[in-house]
Amino acid sequence: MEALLAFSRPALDWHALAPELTLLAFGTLITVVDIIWDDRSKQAMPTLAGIGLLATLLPVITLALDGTDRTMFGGAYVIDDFSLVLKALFLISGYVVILMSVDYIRDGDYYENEYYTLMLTSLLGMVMMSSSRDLISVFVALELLSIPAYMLAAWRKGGARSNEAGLKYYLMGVFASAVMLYGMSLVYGLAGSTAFGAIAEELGSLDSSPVAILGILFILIGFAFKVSAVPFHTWAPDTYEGAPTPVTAFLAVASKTAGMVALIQLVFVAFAGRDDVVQPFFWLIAALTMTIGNLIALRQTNIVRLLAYSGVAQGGFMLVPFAVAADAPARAVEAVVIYMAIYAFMNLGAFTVVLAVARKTRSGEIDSYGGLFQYAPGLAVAMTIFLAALAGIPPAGGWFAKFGLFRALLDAGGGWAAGLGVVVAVNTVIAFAYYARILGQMWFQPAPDGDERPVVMTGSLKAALAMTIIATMAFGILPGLVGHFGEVSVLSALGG
Amino acid sequence: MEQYLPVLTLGVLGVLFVLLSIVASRLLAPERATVAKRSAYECGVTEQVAIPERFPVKFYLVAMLFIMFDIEIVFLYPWAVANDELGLFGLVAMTIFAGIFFLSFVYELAKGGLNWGPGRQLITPATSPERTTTSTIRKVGLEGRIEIETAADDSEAA
Amino acid sequence: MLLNQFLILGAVLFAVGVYGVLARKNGVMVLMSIELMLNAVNINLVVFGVQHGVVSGQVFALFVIAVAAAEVGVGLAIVLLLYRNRTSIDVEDFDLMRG
Repeated sequence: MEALLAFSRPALDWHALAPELTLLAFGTLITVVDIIWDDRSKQAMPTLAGIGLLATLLPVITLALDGTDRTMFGGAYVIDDFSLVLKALFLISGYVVILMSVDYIRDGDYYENEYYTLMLTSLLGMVMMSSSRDLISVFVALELLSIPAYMLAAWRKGGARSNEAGLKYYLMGVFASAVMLYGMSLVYGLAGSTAFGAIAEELGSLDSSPVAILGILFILIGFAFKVSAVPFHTWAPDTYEGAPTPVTAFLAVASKTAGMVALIQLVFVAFAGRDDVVQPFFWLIAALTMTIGNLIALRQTNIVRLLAYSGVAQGGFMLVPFAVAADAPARAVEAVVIYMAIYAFMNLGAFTVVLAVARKTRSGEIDSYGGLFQYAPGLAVAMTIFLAALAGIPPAGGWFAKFGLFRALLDAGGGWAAGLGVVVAVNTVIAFAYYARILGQMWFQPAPDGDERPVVMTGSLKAALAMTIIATMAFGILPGLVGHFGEVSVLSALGG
Repeated sequence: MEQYLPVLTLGVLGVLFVLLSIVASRLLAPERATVAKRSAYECGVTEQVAIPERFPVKFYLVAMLFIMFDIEIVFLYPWAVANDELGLFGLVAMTIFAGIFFLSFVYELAKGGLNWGPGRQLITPATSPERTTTSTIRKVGLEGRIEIETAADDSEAA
Repeated sequence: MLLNQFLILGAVLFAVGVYGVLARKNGVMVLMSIELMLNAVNINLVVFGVQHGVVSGQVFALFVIAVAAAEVGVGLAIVLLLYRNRTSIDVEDFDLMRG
């Protein structure tokens, strides 16, 4: 036992830790400011949080320019291009969400300072997640991003729906983490180590051990809850509908992306040798998620709920490359990363429009979108771009994401991949049907009650809209841009 | 795919067991329901309607505070055991940790989490439906207010 | 070493917890069942750690304990919020949104 207790001071690379430390510092700073000035500081909070996120982007950029891979804590925490691309994605999505939140949170008379602290904490968890290469750090990062999100979902304290959204999200999330943890304990028991590399070696050599299969399945099911994959999606529509809309956007984009990042690390590194278990699981889950998400979305009348089910279906598309994880690993990782990046912006954009329209109509029903083109042509055009992107119509960004999926499937080849390709194609068509319904409502139907007062836009909503439109169109017209980041991240994800 | 065979077999066995148990109990068990058996807990004691009792929420905050420091102890204890090995590095790390932790305590204090006692008891608001503070005349026309409030909440849910 | 016995204890605790989450209607009881599941995980982690002769299992268990406490804190807060607004903690009462 003596050898165990020998302690050597771990080498701390402050530059590598700078993004996390900056985010943490701003989170605590907001709390301190809140303690000292209380209500007088309310106005400054969104600005402070926004500055915090932009300040965190700085070390991410300097680390990317530096370019060397940094490994800390015995391989548990890694800074490479893959993690940096995702950190940047999380921070920018977080910034857009804060822009969306400013007026919603201020007008609603909710707690403000706590809202931004929790948002930054949750983002800290996501930023950590992209660097974690070890069961313990993945678990801590997952909980760090989830626990604030439970509270954010229940943010409208007096609203029965928001409370209910929080409860459902909480119960499902905690249950999923417990299942995932049990799987982790089994995998740890087999491997004797929490590091992904050691786990991969050990699991690869245990071909027929049922415990290994059980452990892997439990972990994957736990994350399937997080990314709201069918049949573990039941919480998502209720939570999305009940939670405050900016929080919904945050959950639908950032939280889902974080789950996907963890899945990439697990599937492509830790379970690399176990494609016999992983591939059939993801084939089934991806096909089910796409199909059921789309079919239920068809009959939704509330736009937030429709976007929730469409988000479930989009999650299914993101899971497709995992089904060919071993056959075409490089293409598969690339496809997932590209899909996540494009999805983040088009979905955030759609939620921004929903938020802006709800400021006037006070309604989330699709019927209330009638005549939007007459009284708010700008918003109608923006929504059209985002829906076209979600449906995968060029030149908006989404087509390139879908293209990436097919490329991964083609590279893998074989009957199973081809079958999944057919499912993807069919689902793309189904999805088009319900996106087209919203488009028809906006462009061709009259406004309900003839109410054609213009929508009042605020500066922050305009900024959020501009950022998401530019990103969505840029990815569609210059796919090489996002393709480059995808390729860069692949090399490091598979190299480590 | 054959990796899934044991899992699948177990699943099938599980479903079969449940189905068999249900069918067997349907066939074998005599059904002689009485009021006592039908009631919850089926122990013969009549259950009482749960009265929505008010309980002081302050206790909950103290419990939260306890849990907070409980967590801190979880990390302090191993540090104390290994202090000789960890040396200055451990001390600095724990100080930072405890510092951030302490901030949450200060936050709770600042937000009045620990202010209790008669000083902060809520004064009965003047907007009581029955009486105003200046007269004993009953206000009228308040019926249906609760419905209006919930309707407002629903529309905001979008 | 009594590895199997401990693992069986862990598995049984976990199963009891899962049953509680699925079958209990009282929100607080659901929270307690989740706590059972997490403690089953802790037993597994510590036992495996001892079996392999490494401390990482115990370290993992410490993190699980800490996170579980935080989770339950948030969970109790949400249940309390629901109780104030709806005077019920029966999880089956909360069905405003369906479909």
